[in-house]
Parts: sequence; C-alpha cells; structure tokens
Amino acid sequence: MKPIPPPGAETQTVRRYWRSLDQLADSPDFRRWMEREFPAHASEMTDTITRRHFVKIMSASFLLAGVGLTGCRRPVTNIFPFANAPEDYTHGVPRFYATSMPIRNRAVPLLVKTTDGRPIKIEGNPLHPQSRGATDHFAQASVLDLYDPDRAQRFTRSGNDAAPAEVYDFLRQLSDRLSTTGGKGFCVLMGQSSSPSRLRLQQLISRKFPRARWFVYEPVDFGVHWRAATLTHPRVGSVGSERPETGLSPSYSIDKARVIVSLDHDFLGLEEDSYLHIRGFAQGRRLAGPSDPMNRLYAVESLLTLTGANADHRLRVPSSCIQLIAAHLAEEVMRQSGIPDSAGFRAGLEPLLSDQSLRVLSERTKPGEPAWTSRWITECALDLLSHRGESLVLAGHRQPLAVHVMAQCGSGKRWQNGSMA
Amino acid sequence: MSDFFPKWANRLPRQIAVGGILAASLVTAGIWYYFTPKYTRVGYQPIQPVPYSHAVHVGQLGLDCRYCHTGVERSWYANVPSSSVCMNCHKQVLPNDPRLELVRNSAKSGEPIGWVQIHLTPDFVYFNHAVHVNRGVSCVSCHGQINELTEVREEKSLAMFFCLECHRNPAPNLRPLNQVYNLAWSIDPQMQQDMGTRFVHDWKINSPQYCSTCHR
Ligand code: HEC
Ligand code: HEC
Ligand code: HEC
Ligand code: HEC
Ligand code: HEC
Repeated sequence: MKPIPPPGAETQTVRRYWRSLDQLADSPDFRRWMEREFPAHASEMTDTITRRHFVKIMSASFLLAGVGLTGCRRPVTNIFPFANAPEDYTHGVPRFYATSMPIRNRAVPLLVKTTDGRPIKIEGNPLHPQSRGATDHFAQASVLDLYDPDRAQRFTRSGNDAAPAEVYDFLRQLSDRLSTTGGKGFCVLMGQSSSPSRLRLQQLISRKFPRARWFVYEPVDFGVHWRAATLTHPRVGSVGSERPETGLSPSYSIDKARVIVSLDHDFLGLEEDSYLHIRGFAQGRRLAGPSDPMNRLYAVESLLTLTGANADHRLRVPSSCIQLIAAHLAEEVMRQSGIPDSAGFRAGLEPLLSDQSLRVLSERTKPGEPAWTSRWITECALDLLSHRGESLVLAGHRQPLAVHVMAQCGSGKRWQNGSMA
Repeated sequence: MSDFFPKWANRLPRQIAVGGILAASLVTAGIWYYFTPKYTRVGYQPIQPVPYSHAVHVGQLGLDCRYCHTGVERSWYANVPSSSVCMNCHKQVLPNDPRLELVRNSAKSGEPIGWVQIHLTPDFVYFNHAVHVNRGVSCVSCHGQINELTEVREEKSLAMFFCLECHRNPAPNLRPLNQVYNLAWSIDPQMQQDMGTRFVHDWKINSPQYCSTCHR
C-alpha cells in the first residue's frame, strides 16, 4: 500500500496529491499555516495554571477528601407521611380513574392508571357496554399528551404569553362591545367535537350574542360516511323529497361480519371509530375451537395501511381506480346472484364498467396475467354472496360519495337481492 | 559481601513473606467484617423527631401494626402513619405533652413530620411487603422485636444474603396468618419446622431465587 504523503512539500517526481484548494495553489499563507503545529486560533495553555498543575492539585484534594471518609456516611433519608391522609389512598398501589377522551364524533371511554397522582397508562374502560375496553393507538399515546410541554398552559395573544388579568380584561371589553350589537360580526372558528360541555357553552354565548356565528372546520372530511348513509337509507316517506335526510351515521358490527371488503377504508388504522373496529375485527378472528368460523378480509387500497397488512387478499390499485373496482364488484355480485335488475342499478354503473381498464390494472400488478384483476373480483363477489347477511363492504373517507353509496348498498344486502332504493 | 548485609538479613525474606500474608488476611478480615451490611447497618438507630415508642404503643397498649402501617397488606410500601392518626388518641391522651408538640402542629398546619427512614433497600432492589405479610411471613423475621423497642433500630441487615437465606428455605419463618402481626408469638422450633413445611406445601409457597425476582 502506498503511504499517504504528508501535506507539505513533495518531490515532483511522484504524482502530486492535494487535500485542499489552498494546498493545490501552494499559497504562502498555506505554507505558513503548515509550519505551525496548531492552527492559529487553537488556544494553547498560556494560563499560569496549566492543565498538569490543575490535575495535580485536584488529585491531592480528592485524596485528602478520602482520608476523612466523608463520603462514607450513610445519607439520611426521610419519610414524609401525609399530615392528614386522604381517604382510600394507599401509597404504592395505583389508582384507576374512569374518563373519556373526546374525539371528533364521539368520546372514547378510558380507564387511566395513576400512581402518586401521575397518569402512567391509558387503557379502554372494560365496563363500557359498547367499547368493552377497546382503545386505538391515539388513545394509547394520549398519555404522552398529558406531559407535553407544548400543551396550552397559559393564555397567548398574537403568539406571545399574556397575563391572565390582561386576558380577562380583554374579554370583558369584548363582551361589552359585542352586547351593544348582539354579537354582529363575531365569529368563532372551531374544530369538530362531541363535547357536551362545549355545546352548553356555545348555547350560553349564543343566547347572549344571538348574531354570533359559529364555524366548524376539519382538515379531513369524514362526513362522507354520514352523507352516504343518509342517501342510501332515506327516512320512510321521504323518498323522492327534496331533502331525504335521516342524519344517519353508519356503525358497523365488524365482529359479526364473516367477509369484509375494504375499499380504501383503513378501519384498523386512521378511520373514525377504529378503536371499536380493531376490537371487532380481532374478535372475528379469535377461534375457541377448530371448527369456529373466521372472518376474511379483502382490501383494495393504494397506500399500505394496517388494514391492508391484515388483509387475506389485498389488491393494490391507484386511488383513482378504486371506484372502478367497486363498480365491477357490484356488477359481478348482481350477475352472480342472478336476480333481475329491476331498479336499473346496472345502468347507473355502466360508465365505470370497462374490461379494458381492468386489463391495464392487471398488467401493472401481475404482468402477463391480463385476467388477474377480474378473477380477483369474481372470487371476491362469490365469497360475498356465499355469506349473505354476514358480509360487509366499507368505503374509506378518501373515496368519493359514489363509492360510498355502492359500498353501503353492498352491505345492506341490496346488491345481493338486486334492488337499489 | 558480608560487610554489606548483617547476619539477620538472611531471615528477612521469610519475615517479609509471613508479615505480608498476615497483613493481607487482616485487611481481608477487616473488610469482611466492617464493610458488610451486617456491620454497617445493623444497629442503625437515628434520633427521630418525635420520641415515639413502639414498646408503649404496641407492647403495652397492644395496637395492631396495621392501625398505623396501613399499606402493609396491600402495597409494597408499609406506610408510616399520618399525624392525624396519632391525634385520634392524643387529642385526649397527653394533650399538652411537649414531646407531642410537633405532631399537634403538623396535624393542624398540614406540614408533614420528617421521620428518619431506617430500613432502606437500594433503588435497584424490588421489595414488596404485601407479598410477604399475606403469606405468613411476620414482621419479626425482617424487623426484629419492634414491639419491645422504645426507639426503632435496624435489627437485620436486609442485605441480599439475608433475603436469599429465607427464600431458599422459608419454612422456619412461616406462621399462621392470624399470628403475623403478633410479634410476641413463639413456638417450639421443631413444631415450627413441621408447620412451616406443611404451609409451604399447602399454600404452594414459591419464594423465587432467580435474580429478576428482586432486581427487575
Ligand atoms: C401507633 C402507630 C404505630 C403502630 C401501631 C406501629 N407503628 Fe411502627 N412506626 C410508627 C411510626 C410513627 C414510625 C416512624 C418512627 C420511627 O421510626 O420510630 C414507625 C416505624 C416503624 C418501623 C421502621 C420504619 C423505617 O423507618 O424503616 C418499623 C419496621 C415498624 N414501625 C414496624 C412496626 C411493627 C412491626 C408494628 C406492629 C407490631 C408497628 N410498627 C406498629 C407507628 C406505629
Ligand atoms: C390508640 C391510641 C394511641 C395512638 C393512635 C397513638 N398513641 Fe401515643 N400514646 C398513647 C398512650 C395511651 C400513651 C401513654 C400515655 C402515658 O404514658 O400516660 C401514649 C404515649 C405517647 C408518647 C409518650 C411516650 C412515652 O414513652 O410515654 C408519645 C411521644 C406518643 N405517644 C407519640 C405518638 C405518636 C407519634 C403517635 C402516632 C404515630 C401516637 N402516639 C399514636 C396512645 C396512642
Ligand atoms: C421480608 C421482610 C420484611 C417483612 C416480613 C416486613 N418488612 Fe417492613 N421492610 C422491609 C424492607 C426490606 C424495608 C425497606 C423497604 C424500602 O426500601 O423502602 C421495610 C420497610 C418498612 C417500613 C418503612 C416504610 C417502607 O415501607 O419503606 C415500615 C414502616 C415497615 N417496613 C413495617 C413493616 C411491618 C409493620 C411489617 C409486618 C406487618 C413488616 N414491615 C414486615 C422488610 C420486611
Ligand atoms: C423470612 C422469609 C423471607 C425473607 C427474609 C424475604 N422473603 Fe421474599 N418472599 C418470601 C416468601 C415466603 C415469598 C413467597 C410468597 C408467595 O409464595 O407468594 C417471597 C416472595 C418475594 C417476592 C415476590 C416474588 C414473586 O414474584 O412472586 C419478592 C419480590 C421478594 N420476596 C423479595 C424479597 C426481598 C427483596 C427480600 C429482602 C429484603 C426478601 N424478599 C426477604 C420470604 C421471605
Ligand atoms: C430475594 C431477593 C434477591 C434475589 C433473588 C437476588 N438479589 Fe441481588 N440483591 C438483593 C438485595 C436486597 C440487595 C441489596 C443489598 C444491600 O442493600 O447491600 C442486592 C444486591 C445485589 C448486588 C449489589 C451488590 C451489593 O452488595 O450491593 C448485586 C450485584 C446483586 N444483588 C446481584 C444479584 C444476582 C446476580 C442475583 C441472581 C443470582 C441476585 N442478585 C438475586 C436481593 C436479591
């Protein structure tokens, strides 16, 4: 191996290597720099107390300190019991508090474990009749929020801390000003919440300032589930009316479903109510005996989600094509069930049905097998039909209303008996 | 050469060897004795802020340990009573005694009394009172005859060998559950051995010796 030459003067006979542009230019500055052992600003020990001297003194003082064995005394620790003990408190035994975590559309029932007044673990409340102890990852992680230094702990105004007195003063002035106009021009922007306390406060304010306006904003729209349910399950007597509103929101008994088809619906991950769905899905997979049935999950999705990772059959397609798959699936179910399409459902699907696009999809996932996607759909439809009344088709919030409507009709046994309300 | 070293120098190597061995064993013995928990801990008896006496309250009055050490059956921590517990009696008994000044002030002001902790295991040891007391191990086994002490002092070393000695063979220390808090209880050693062996079998006593039992 050739030794690395020193970065100084070199004989010209060997090939010259350089390590910096300065060296290549061989400037006088560089030569001067080379001649010094340390770069100019590296502080040399010019103090009167040198490093060696310091170490010498310190070792002597450590030795002297050791002679007295002052470090070998047992440190005195104290026990400070309560002066007046609270009732029902045993130090060292954790206490549990039942509480709930408000989320957009409802609240997750929780049980919080605390020791010495500090929450340390959050679990679902097993006594709650609906959730029966279920939680999701957000609820589990929320214990960290309680210790988050960024939690709102004080008032801020224009991004700066504000003293409470100042803020109350401001609010009082605001209230005085608004009461002269009944709250005209006063708007509140807020996130969606199911909190009854917030509702009560909102009503209080509205009563005082009737012309105040309230705006709810959410970055992600989960309302599509609700709109689809309202469309597909109109109130009796309201069919054909202008506003077929029922205000329904879908709620799934995933634990009872034997075949589940997810159309981009990440019900084990980021969709709403996933704390219930995770529990239900796991229950459908739990076997007590060898002959117990087990649910089967088909996932059609573009991202890799937890739902896809748990699926028995996963179809990976671009997000834009999920509507296509949904239409083909609906069509296939109707064809296989053999019930006449009296409501003209198929005609509605027509624009989405084309074998060409299915073939393109197959070519992308399984090159050389042009019929792969349509076979997947056929098998899926067969499975759905052989579990009539026990199958569930779900559509995710990223999908347009059309997919949701198809999905909800699918779950509502309507594909299977061929009618579309 | 003989001019340089006197005659007795011939014995010097042997003397040095013997002296060295003696010194080494002395140092070893000294460390063995003085630096182990048996010497450094047993007998530790700090002065408490209030001259509370277990001999008076337990030995003479017959109070149960659990009246004050309330956590002992449920928690790893035995608990030292709050001042309000003392005041249950001392509102009437010795209501103006200067020795109880601190207790009265504490109960009134809410300022806790700083009792000096006597028994203490290092942080890397997990100890649990409930697990022992509920399985027939009496306070006596680890704290000695507290009921006779005017001032509490450390009677047992509570070092690792002490814990393990019993964990290897708990039979001599197991009692009927109704005698756990009766520190004056005693029984013939042979009967104790028989009874202990029976309890180990009947109650399925399992006092583990693997390290993670106590070092979690
Ligand atoms: C009237 C209340 C009371 C009763 C009853 C009582 N104790 Fe105590 N005990 C105390 C107080 C107060 C202290 C703290 C002061 C001290 O260490 O002397 C204490 C301290 C102790 C300690 C030492 C704690 C340490 O710092 O390590 C032990 C061990 C103990 N008690 C055991 C017992 C046992 C065993 C019994 C039952 C036989 C008992 N006690 C009954 C009040 C009580
Ligand atoms: C069950 C009632 C009772 C409780 C509880 C109680 N004491 Fe006493 N205490 C007594 C009696 C009775 C005496 C003896 C009075 C006498 O000697 O005349 C006494 C005596 C004392 C004395 C005097 C000591 C001596 O040697 O005479 C002190 C100090 C004392 N108690 C402190 C405490 C403290 C501290 C507590 C709380 C940890 C406490 N007591 C809880 C009943 C109680
Ligand atoms: C198996 C041994 C053992 C038994 C049995 C036992 N203790 Fe302890 N005790 C300990 C040890 C070890 C500590 C030190 C614990 C620590 O590090 O905090 C202790 C500490 C204490 C303390 C100080 C407060 C605390 O919990 O740290 C009290 C009070 C006490 N014991 C009371 C009792 C009483 C009362 C009983 C009987 C009912 C009892 N102990 C039985 C081993 C024992
Ligand atoms: C006098 C006997 C005795 C002494 C001393 C003793 N132990 Fe134990 N310990 C037991 C017995 C008996 C059990 C088993 C109880 C059971 O079967 O549930 C036990 C159980 C335990 C357990 C619970 C093990 C488990 O996971 O179930 C721990 C932890 C423990 N001892 C720690 C200690 C420590 C630390 C010490 C020393 C400070 C100690 N013990 C001293 C008798 C003793
Ligand atoms: C029954 C409980 C118990 C078990 C089991 C146990 N230890 Fe310990 N150990 C202790 C206690 C108590 C101490 C603290 C001793 C002291 O206070 O000095 C200790 C201290 C130690 C120390 C520190 C040395 C010292 O003296 O301070 C080491 C190292 C250690 N143990 C290793 C082990 C290993 C390795 C095992 C498994 C073979 C083990 N222990 C099993 C109770 C236990």
